[in-house]
Parts: sequence; structure tokens; C-alpha cells
Amino acid sequence: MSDIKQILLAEDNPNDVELTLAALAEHHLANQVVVVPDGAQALEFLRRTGRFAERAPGNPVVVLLDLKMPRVDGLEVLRQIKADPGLRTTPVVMLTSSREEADLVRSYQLGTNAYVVKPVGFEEFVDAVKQLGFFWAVINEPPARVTPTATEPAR
Amino acid sequence: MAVAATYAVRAFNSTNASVRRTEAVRREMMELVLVLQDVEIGSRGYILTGQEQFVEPFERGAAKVRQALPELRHLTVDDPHARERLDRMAPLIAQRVEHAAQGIALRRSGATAAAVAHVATGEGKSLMDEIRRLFDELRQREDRRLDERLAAVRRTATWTTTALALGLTIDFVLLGLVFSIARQGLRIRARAVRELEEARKYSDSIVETVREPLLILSEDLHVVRANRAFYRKFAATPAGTEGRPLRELAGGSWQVPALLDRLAAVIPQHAEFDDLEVVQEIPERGRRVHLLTARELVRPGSDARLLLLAIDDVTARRAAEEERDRFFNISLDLLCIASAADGRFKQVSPTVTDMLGWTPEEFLAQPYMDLIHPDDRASSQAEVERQVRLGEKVLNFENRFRHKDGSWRILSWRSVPQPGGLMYASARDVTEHRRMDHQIRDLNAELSRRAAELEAANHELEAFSYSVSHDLRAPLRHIDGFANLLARNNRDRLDEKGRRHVDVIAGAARKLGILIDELLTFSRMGRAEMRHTPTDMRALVAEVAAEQNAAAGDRRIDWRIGPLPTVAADPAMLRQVWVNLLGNAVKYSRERAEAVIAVSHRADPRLGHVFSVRDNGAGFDMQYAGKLFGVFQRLHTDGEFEGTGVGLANVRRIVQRHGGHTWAEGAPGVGATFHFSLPGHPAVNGRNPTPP
Repeated sequence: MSDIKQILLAEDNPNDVELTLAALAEHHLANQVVVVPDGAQALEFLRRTGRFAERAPGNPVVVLLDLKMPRVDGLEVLRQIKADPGLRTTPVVMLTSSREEADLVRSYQLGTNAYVVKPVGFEEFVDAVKQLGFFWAVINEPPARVTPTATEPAR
Repeated sequence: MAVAATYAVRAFNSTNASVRRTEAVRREMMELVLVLQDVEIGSRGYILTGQEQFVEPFERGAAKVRQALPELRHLTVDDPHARERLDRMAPLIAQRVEHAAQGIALRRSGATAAAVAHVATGEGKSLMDEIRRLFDELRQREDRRLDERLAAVRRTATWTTTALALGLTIDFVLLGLVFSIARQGLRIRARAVRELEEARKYSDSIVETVREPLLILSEDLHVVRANRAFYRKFAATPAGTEGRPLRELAGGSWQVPALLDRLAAVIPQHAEFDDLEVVQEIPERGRRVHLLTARELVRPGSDARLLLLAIDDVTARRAAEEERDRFFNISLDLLCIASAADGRFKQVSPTVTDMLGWTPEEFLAQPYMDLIHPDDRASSQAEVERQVRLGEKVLNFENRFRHKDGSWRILSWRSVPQPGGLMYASARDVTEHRRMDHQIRDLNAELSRRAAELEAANHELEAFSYSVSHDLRAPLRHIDGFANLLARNNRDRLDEKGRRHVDVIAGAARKLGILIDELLTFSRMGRAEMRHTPTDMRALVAEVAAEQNAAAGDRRIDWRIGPLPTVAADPAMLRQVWVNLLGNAVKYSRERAEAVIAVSHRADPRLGHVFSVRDNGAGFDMQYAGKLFGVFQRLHTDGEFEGTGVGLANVRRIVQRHGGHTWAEGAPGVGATFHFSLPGHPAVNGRNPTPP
């Protein structure tokens, strides 16, 4: 079990990844970030299956989910996290370009912990990411670690 | 002598008994004929007047007839000839009584006309004549027989002349007997005369009681007598009437040649008539319409022929009929009377020409089924039958009738059945209604189709703006983001000019981001569902003004907010209106040392609520007022006042969706006033008290 406070970032757009990492780097949080390009891989990481079957156990301190992603989108990932007893307590922040109210309502219905509209201005963006990362990764005390389920292969 | 006398007495006794029986038969016969007269008078009286008092003599007479017949049969038991006559009379008498009883029954059931017609058939009279004829035959024969018997008595007497004394005695007795018989005959005759007199009084009482004026005229049309109703109605007196010629009565108003000709023919030609319509000018009563009925009468107790003239004044009835006909003629609906029996219209209002092109005559000439559309005939026939057979009304039944020009008109019928297979009906032409119904249905279908299209277009638009909000913003974020990274990471390598270029790139991206956001808001305002709730405008304005005031920093703004009402509107949308208007007022007045922004309300009878925002800012040239509310239309450069040109377009769209209007006035360097109206009743809503 790792003590490193990991942040999982699911984002398909490399520009946004780079900008997000740059923002996190300003606050020295970038080296803790695991980036996946879509929802399917986000779920593999969280469940330690597929290409992440070998990763060390433990849930990230926060999951940053882009709303629109190929294959499995952010809302679906959110739904599966909140439906999984082993993941339910992991904080999820929805990151999106959209100001559409329907997306916001839907996200809160599914149990997101925060919903952030990515500002166009970089300064504001850096500000938002900094606050997010700082709150979830540094200040927030995560709930007690959930015991791995019995079906999980012993290591 | 003793033997002869004994024989003679026995013979006499036998003859005497026979004579008495013959007399009894005659008396009974006479009685029967009188009783039959009672029956007749009673039944006619009842038929004419409907008064029950006449039924009683009829019934008494009928009962007497039933008694008298067996009596007569008994008396004629040893007389085959009389018996044979009697057997022929009996069924005739029964028929006569039955005929009278039928007349009474008809009158009692209300069928007065039928009852009168029943009498007028003359069947009763011919029966009576036949009865009288048989009776006369019988009487003559009985008379003969009496003579024969008297002769036989005399013969017997001659035969016994051997005893003179006895013969004398017999003669004396016989004389006495003859005297007695003659006296008895006289008594019977007197009784008949008395009864005849009673019958006459009886018929007189009927004539007097009848409500219709009656005249009895002689063959040469002189008045024999008139009844009380006549004197009352024509204000005449018996002295000035009886014995005078008809044509001189009532100021000569009976001097109608056609009428006098008909009356003169009644007796000689037996030409009785019913309901002859005559219009007469009666002095002091004016024009009257009479229905006249004439009957030939035999004066009781003589052979004189008389004429009974019954006068029915139908002036009022005719006037009512004329009035009805006037209504009939002016009705916009088609009114008609149709007969199911022969399948034709009997009467039709002149509207038929306007409605169906036919003249009334043409319309009546055709069987109605021929005028009905072939596809509607079965249903129409079913309606007719339902009506005629079951007596049910028809309401709003529709079928198609052929117009004379060959087109079909849809008629909506209402009809009530009448006895005798008649239908009183009215029809309205609903062709236009039906055509409009069709049009409305078509239009509705078209409207639904358009609404569906619109909905689809709206969905597309929503998908489009969703895509815009996601996909256009991302590249902008990247432009701004990487421009910033560029500036940060190469701070040393970029000169002043380079840094400015990066700033411009980032600024342009941000500006485009704002534009996109405002356009999305604008688009959303056009599509969002409106929720009308009572909205307190004063509270709303105060709240928005406070925000704007805060955003303006340490600028001095004099807010003058007047009394504002509560209106029915979508609060979120109206908030957007105030944000734009107050925001503009703050923005364009920033050059002023002290900005004055006034918000007011007035009630306009045509527009409803009118709200106004006045500022003392930069103002605008009225020649460009038309461009103010267009999307991306700006009257200032970004250098003067920044902006996107979407705010006022948004205001206009929201106000229009509420059913209101927007307009503005201003002058450069002086200020501007923006107005918008909202429909509503200011008197009801203008009661929002405003604290100072």
C-alpha cells in the first residue's frame, strides 16, 4: 500500500492535460498525478484491472474527470464509482468546458463532490486547479482505507 | 137462443181480443217511432253541443227500444205477416241506435268534426226512412185488419138475428165497442201530437244552446228563425230578423252573390255544403271570415223543407294563421311540413330558394328522397321511420340536399312528428360550418406538423449550442493557456513587443470566450421555458442595483428608484433584463463625476406596465436608435466602451417573449432612457408601496 497521495486525472485532450499539469506543477502537485486518456482506463486504474492490474493497491485522494471523453464518458465513470462500495468514498471532481445546466444537475444527481467549469482564462484556470488540488490532495482527510474485497487476488 | 147467444158472445169475445191486440201493436209501434226520434235528437244534440244533458234522453230512448221490441214480438205471435215486418224492422232499429251511439262516441273522444261528418253521411236518415216505411205498411195493414175484424163482428151479429133482443144487445155492445176504439185512437193521436211538441221544444233548446250562430232559412232564403248566438253576434233582434230576406240582414253584408247562389241550390238540388269560406263586412264589426255549413231540414210535423245555416267565425284563427305564415316566410331556417305517407314536402318556406336554389313549387314537386344525396338516403329514411313510427323527435340530423345548381348542401335537421305521418321540420345550412370544421382540422394537423418540426429544430439547436459551449471553448482555453505559458516560461527571451503580442492573443481568446457565453445565454433565453410568477420588481431592481453598485467600485452613483409594481413574469429572465439595463447605465455614465440613474414605472392604457431606466451618461444619436437592440450591433467602439452587442438583444428577446416592447431615446453627451413594457393591468399591480 502506497502512502503517496495520488491524483487521477481522466482527460482525453492532451492540451488540457498539459495545462492542468502546468497548473498543478505551480503548486508542486504534478508528480503525484496519474493521467488516463479516457473513462475506460480510469475505471481500470481504479479497479486495478487491465493494464493497471499490477499497480499498488489504494484509491487516489481525488479523481478529476473530464465530462466528455471517448468510449466511457465522465458521467458514466462517476456513476460506476459511486455505485462501487470499494470506490464510493473517493472524492470526484467533474472538470468540464460546459456551462450547460443539465450536465451540472446530472453530475450532482450522480453524487459528484464538486463541479468545475474550466475558465477560458489561463490565470483563472490555474487558480481553480490550484484550489482543487490543494483542497483534495493536501487539506482533505480521506476516509479510512477500504479493505480490499475478497474477490481481489492476493498479492 | 141460449146456444146462439153463447156462441155469439164467444165469437165477440174472440174478435174483441183480436181488436185489442191490433190496437196494442199500433200503439207500441207509434211509441217505438217516437222513442227512436228521442234517440236521434239526443245524439245530434250531444254532437252539436257536447253537453251531457243530451246523452241522457238518448240512453233512455235506447233502453226503451230494447224493451219495446220483445213486447211487439209477443203481441204479433199469431200474426205471421206483422211478425215478418217486425223481423225486418228490428235490425234496422238496432242499426239506427248503434249509428247514433257511434256519433256520440266520436264526439266524446274529441273528434267533433268526425262526429259531425258521421251525422252528415245521411245513413241515420235513410235508416229512419226505411223504418218509417215499414211502420207505415204495418200500420196500414193493421188498419185493414181492424176493419176486417169489425166486419166479422158484424157478420157474427147478423148471423145471430134469431134472437133480436140479443142482436140488439150485441149491436149496442158493438157500437159501444166501436166508440171505445175510436176514442182510444183519438187519445193515442193526442199523445203523439204532445210528444211531437215536446220533441220540438227539445230541438229548440239545442238550437238555442249551441254556441255557433245558426240561421234557419226558408227555401226562398227568408229567415224563419235565428238562435241566441246569432242575435248576440250580429247585434240583431228577432223583430228585425225573422221573416226578412237573408240578403237584407246586417246592412246587406250577406249580399255575396256566390254565397246566395250556393244557398239557393241547397234545397232544390240537395246541395248541402260544409265550411264554405266567406269574407263579410259586418257593420261595426268590420271584416270577418266565416266558415258556413248548410243543411237541409224537414220541419217536424210537416213536409216543408228548411235550410239550416251554421256560421263559424274564424277571423281570429285566420289572423293567427297569417301571423304564423309571416314567421314561416321570414325564417332564415328552412321550415317545412313533410308527409311520410307519400314522401313529399307539403309546405316549404321561401328560404328554400336562398338555400337550395329551388322555387317552393319546384321543391314540393319532387319526392324528398330524390333531393337527398344517394349515400344519405338510407340514414334519412331511418330517421323518418323512427319519427313516424316511434313518434320521436329528430335533433341535429345531417344529410346532403341537392342544390338546383347540382352542388350538395349539408343541412342540419330538427323535426317533430305530427299525427297522420306528418313531420314539422326546420333545417339549417351547415355546409360552411362543415367546410370550416374541415379547414380547422387541416390547419390543426398542419400546425401540429409544424410544431413537431420546430421541436426537432429546437433539439438540433440545443445539440448545436451544447457542442458550441464544449468544443469552441476548449481551443480558446488552449490559446489563452499556452500564450500564458509562453509568456511565463520565456519571460527573459521575450521583448516588450513580444509580450504585448502574447497579451493580445490571450485577450482576444478571452473576448471570444465571453462572446460565446453571451451568445449561448441569448440562445437559451429564446428557448427556455417561461415560468410566470408574481415578481416584485422593486425588490429585483434594488438587488441588481446593489450588485452593479458594488461592481462599480468607488464610483458615486445616485440611484433614484421609484415605486415599482409586482408583475406576473419569469423572475430569472427579468433579472437578466435589469442586469443588462442597469449595467449599461452604470457603464455609459462612468465618465460623469456623479452618475444619476433613475428607474421608474408608469401605467399605460395601451401597453400596460412601462418601465424606464434613465442615465446621464454618454447617450446616443437617435438616428441609430433602430440598431440598439440588434445582435452584435454597437454604437460605441471597444476603445470607448467595451461590450459584445448582445446585452440589449437579450433584453428585447426576453421582453418580447413576455409580450412587451422595448424602445429607447437619447442624445449624445446627455444621456439615454431605455423603456420596456409588460402587458398587464397596472391598476391591479400598481399597489406596491415604495418606502423612500
